[in-house]
Amino acid sequence: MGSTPTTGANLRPYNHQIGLDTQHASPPVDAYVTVDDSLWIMVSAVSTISIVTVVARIILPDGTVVLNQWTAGSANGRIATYTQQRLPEGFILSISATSNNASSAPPTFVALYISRSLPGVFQAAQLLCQGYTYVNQPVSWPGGINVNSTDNSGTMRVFVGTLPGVGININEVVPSSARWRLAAIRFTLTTSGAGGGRVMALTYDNGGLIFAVSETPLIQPISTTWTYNYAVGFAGVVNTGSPVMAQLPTPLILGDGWHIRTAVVNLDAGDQLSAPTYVVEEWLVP
Amino acid sequence: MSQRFRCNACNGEYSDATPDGGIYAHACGPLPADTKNPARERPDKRDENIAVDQNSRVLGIRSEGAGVTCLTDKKIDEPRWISAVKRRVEKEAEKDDA
Repeated sequence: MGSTPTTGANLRPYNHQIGLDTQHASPPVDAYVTVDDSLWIMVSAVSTISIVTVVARIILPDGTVVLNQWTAGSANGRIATYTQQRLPEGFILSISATSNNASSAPPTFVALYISRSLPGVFQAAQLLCQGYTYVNQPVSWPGGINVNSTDNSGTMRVFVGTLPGVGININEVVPSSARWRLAAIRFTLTTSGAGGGRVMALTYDNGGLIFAVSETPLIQPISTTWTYNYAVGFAGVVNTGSPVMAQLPTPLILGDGWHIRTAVVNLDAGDQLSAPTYVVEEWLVP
Repeated sequence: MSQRFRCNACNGEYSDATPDGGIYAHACGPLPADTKNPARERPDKRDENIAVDQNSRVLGIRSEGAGVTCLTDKKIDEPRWISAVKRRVEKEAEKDDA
């Protein structure tokens, strides 16, 4: 117990002491590729500066194991960016993809495919591996687990939305190729000295139809500043004034292009809503 | 480094990056309802989300609207990530033409 494990195998020099019967060998893995095949790297990321490094061990026909490394970026943000790489003839023994993201947020999703088609034409013949990756979490084949981008829990993200112009409601749209679960939203409303009392409501729509409204039963007087906190798990509005704590519908899953908006009753041209702070669980849907 | 912008259509102000390093895409909300009109989309609406065609080819942002003004660097006329997407779209189009 506590002693250094034997590492005698590591001490021997690499000298091709193990030979391969290249004429009669069975494929060690099911990823035999030729020069007519390509490796395609698909990257989808919330950041446009995410870089994915792909490393493959390939055994060539003469028995030599070589290491290949490629990089691919996410130039279009969440929209899938495909990069094609030529391959030598041989067997891919193993391959991995690792993003340079320091943590799981913002998320980066990667997929590695083998394709046999004309240059620049992507046609998946085999999906090797796919999943979310960051610097300490590579996605690999064989032995890794293939997951669709919406299979498991998403990535928790906190960010500040747009500060609306004076007299304008809050508007947030779920980005292209994203899916959100809204967990919380916080903002203030400063009312002008004009008009009647304001009533706060949040609406959720799919770009055309409002399917849910979270309206508070409180009336905010003129010339006041109230803070509104909407979150999953709140028991409903319990205070009679600011800060307002109100309930969000749950689960509130929102697709690409869907909106989160305020619809303030009696909103005056002089009212000012603050930039909202959101907590969302995000999945990429490249 | 993130920059702060003002939308020339809705006067909304926003940062082009989120604290975790993600990109932020602004989209104008509808015009508020008044005594004469119900709430309706702005004619000069800006939407920085990425548009794709039926073949998933990136076309650029969904709508330029009235453009934006950078509040933190006068030399910048739009979020850098949008400029990068536009350059890429142009490059792809040139490749297709060739």
